[in-house]
Amino acid sequence: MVDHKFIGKTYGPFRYEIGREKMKEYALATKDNRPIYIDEEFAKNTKYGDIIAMPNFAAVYGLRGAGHVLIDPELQLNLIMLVHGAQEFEWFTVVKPGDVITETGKIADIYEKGNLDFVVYEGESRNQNGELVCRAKATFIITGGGS
Amino acid sequence: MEELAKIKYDEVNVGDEIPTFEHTWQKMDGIIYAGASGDFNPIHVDPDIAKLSGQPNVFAHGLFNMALLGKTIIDWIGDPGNLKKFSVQFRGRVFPGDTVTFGGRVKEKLEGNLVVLEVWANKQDGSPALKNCEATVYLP
Repeated sequence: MVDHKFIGKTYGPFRYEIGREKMKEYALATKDNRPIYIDEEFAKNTKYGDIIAMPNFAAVYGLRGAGHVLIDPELQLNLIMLVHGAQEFEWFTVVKPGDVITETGKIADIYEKGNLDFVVYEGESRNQNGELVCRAKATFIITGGGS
Repeated sequence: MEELAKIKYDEVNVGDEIPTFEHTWQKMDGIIYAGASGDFNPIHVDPDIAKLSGQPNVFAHGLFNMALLGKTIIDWIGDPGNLKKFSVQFRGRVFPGDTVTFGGRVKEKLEGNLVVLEVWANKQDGSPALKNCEATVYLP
């Protein structure tokens, strides 16, 4: 069982500068070559004026705190028995090259169901203008006891 | 000006299905995704480690499967900026050679031009890779 006293523990801020080629690399790695992700000439003539990151690029800039939860020496999660059970993203604006994202997060919940332990991480990402970009919620499941 | 949005709110009915997308996962997909995402968890790239963890082979990152389901939704709506909310449960491992079909259906039309989709990703034997998935999109 994971100690409930860690509910509310905060992580971050984590800074991530959005790289043009990294955005493209992620889109292509996930089999999406639509021009608004990779073609600056095309993007110039859209309302965005430049390429945008695919929404799921939030997995890169918006879940860094979750990575720190997994290796947090205080929590001592049993990584061998841990799976990423569920993921939710909510987006509020698009991400463009050069944006500087700051993510802060917390352990939103810890609970048990039968033999399974659940640890829920919630992160919030804002850009250099302070605008909310994305909320991310990751649920990790540890089988057979948390630590 | 290039218009990205494809389908209009008024053209959509509850029960409509969105076009499916199919992908057969190979080990290289996992290696390329690891590099692109920075997630080098060896169970997705190193068969020896995958076997040590009790799996028959390496398997796809869950977030890779989620991104492909996101692509399927965006293929239908056109404008990536109109995907507002997206949730999945990671339920089945996708091993080399597994073919996953990504699809979805209009579940509900809300005020403010928002549409809720029930979406899914199933392997060739019908078992889910992703389950209980939902997306909220804005349609002009």
